[in-house]
Amino acid sequence: MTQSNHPLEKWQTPAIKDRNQRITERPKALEINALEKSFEHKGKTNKVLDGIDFTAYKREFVCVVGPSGCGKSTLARLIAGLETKEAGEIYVEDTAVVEPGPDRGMVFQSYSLFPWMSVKENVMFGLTQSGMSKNSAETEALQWIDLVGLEKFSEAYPHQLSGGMKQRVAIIRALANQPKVLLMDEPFAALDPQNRMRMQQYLLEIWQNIDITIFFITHDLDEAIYLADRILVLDANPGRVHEVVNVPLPRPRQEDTLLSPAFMATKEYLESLVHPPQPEMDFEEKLSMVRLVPVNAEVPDIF
Amino acid sequence: MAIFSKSWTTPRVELDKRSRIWLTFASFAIPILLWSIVSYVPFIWHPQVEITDPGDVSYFREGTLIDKDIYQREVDKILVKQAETDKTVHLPQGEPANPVYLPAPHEVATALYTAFTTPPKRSNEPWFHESLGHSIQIIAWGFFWSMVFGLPLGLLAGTYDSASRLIEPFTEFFRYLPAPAFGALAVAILGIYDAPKISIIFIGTFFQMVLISANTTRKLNMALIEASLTLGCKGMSMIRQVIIPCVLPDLFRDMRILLGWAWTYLIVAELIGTSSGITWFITQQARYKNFDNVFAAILIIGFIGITTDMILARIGKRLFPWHGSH
Repeated sequence: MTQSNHPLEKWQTPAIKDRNQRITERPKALEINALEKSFEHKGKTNKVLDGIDFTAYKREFVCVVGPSGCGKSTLARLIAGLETKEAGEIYVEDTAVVEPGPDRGMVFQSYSLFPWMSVKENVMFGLTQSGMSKNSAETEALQWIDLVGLEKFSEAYPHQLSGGMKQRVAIIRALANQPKVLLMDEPFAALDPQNRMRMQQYLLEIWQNIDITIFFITHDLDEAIYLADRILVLDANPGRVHEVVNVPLPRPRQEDTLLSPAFMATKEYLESLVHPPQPEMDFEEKLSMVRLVPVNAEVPDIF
Repeated sequence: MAIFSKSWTTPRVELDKRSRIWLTFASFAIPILLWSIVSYVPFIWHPQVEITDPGDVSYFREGTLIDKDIYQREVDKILVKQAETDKTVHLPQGEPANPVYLPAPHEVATALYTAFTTPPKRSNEPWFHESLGHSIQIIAWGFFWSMVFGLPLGLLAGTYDSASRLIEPFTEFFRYLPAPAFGALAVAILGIYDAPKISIIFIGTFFQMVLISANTTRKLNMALIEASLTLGCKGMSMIRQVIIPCVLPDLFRDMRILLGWAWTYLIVAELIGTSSGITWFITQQARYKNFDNVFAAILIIGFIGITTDMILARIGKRLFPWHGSH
């Protein structure tokens, strides 16, 4: 596919192109080479990831989308070191990934805050693990809590917080460790749409202000376009890189970005990649299924 | 007042407060009511006769309990004798009674008090509260040693698959060996006093404790372990700072259940070597046919069990306020 006839080409303004160009000139934050992973299920081997190549640059915001079962979560877990790879390499700032470590923070969909620790203790956890003294860890934790506006809740326990607040704590808990890459595995999927929107704005704000590369897994295309510099589109069965889409939207993103024509066009394009049009079911067949359901004859037909 | 509320028959719906109190009360009241009916309504059961006047029967004494048919036979004999000899006879008198092993509720209630106030038959024998104290001591030591060895092994087995493979198969086998079967062995090795008794409690609870605490640890939310891994926590530090605090409330609940098991092993344990503690009291009282005391002692075990459990449940709520609501 040549650049000239790419459907999103006309939205790539010079300013955006220039910005993307500058991103790719930065040092590499994350490099994935020929990564393979399969799971065994009932004796059958299922190749979830089949030769993934991808590079993310420093301070880049990358989203990963793809049909369900394409191994997006597995990819994030492999980078985190929570799964073992079969073949290929993963480098984070030129260091090979062999096991989980604090240089790759991770935020899970299920919050996974430690329920017996207060918000402050949760944020302090990673800091004290890396050998920081209690006092300085506390000062630092409080600064992070301040940053996401939870200072009133620093002594509260996770079960006393709303979903959005829990996820904010989970994010700063990961960020407090100053990881090189922040992996986020569908972190906002359990939130209601309004909260999700607010959390996305929060995340962008934090990301703009600190030196962090974000690798964000989602199944929500709106979310991916709104957040990402580049979107990694995966195929399912076997999981391969379908395309890496440059998002043709200027920064900073506003709420009305979601209504801009460029956004619409990108969404339509991604939609066609992730959910290719399915052949329609035979209409007659559907009708015969409906006829099996008895209809109350007293209710007049309105069609 | 509607005694029967709709929520009683809806599956898994929480009851209102009044129904809860009512049903808890009824759960104790119903057995006591049945017991009272059998004890106090003369025509229900009462298979024996308590003699109030021996009459002409030579071996009847006032207060003895005689089976109804034997009593009837003696009465018939006398009536026959009267018909034959035409002499005035003295018929025995009696009231329907229950066997000696079923004392009435009020007798047991009195015994609950008098058991503590009656001095022992011989001066070298312990008072009831001393026996009870001794039993509690045996349980406490047995359970303590079980926890000292059982909990760490269980935590390890629940955390590492390798430890589980090493520990659990043998434990699984050993827990089927009935603890009382080790009684003779325990006496041979540990003497006749408290040590073999403690060891029976230990054998009875230790193996279950390893398996149960391993299972509880395994149920720990994997996401929390993964989160702690990505925060740079591993090895012993993870066990100490993540796994133990996370499973502690569930382990606490397991310990409450296991403590109940320890009481069931107590009676066998105390028969080993020199009989002691509450079991000694029970067997002694049964020998004197003081079944009201026997019942009282059994009930007191129940009271101690349920009170400790309630206190521990309260402590658990205080210690782990975050538990059960996440």
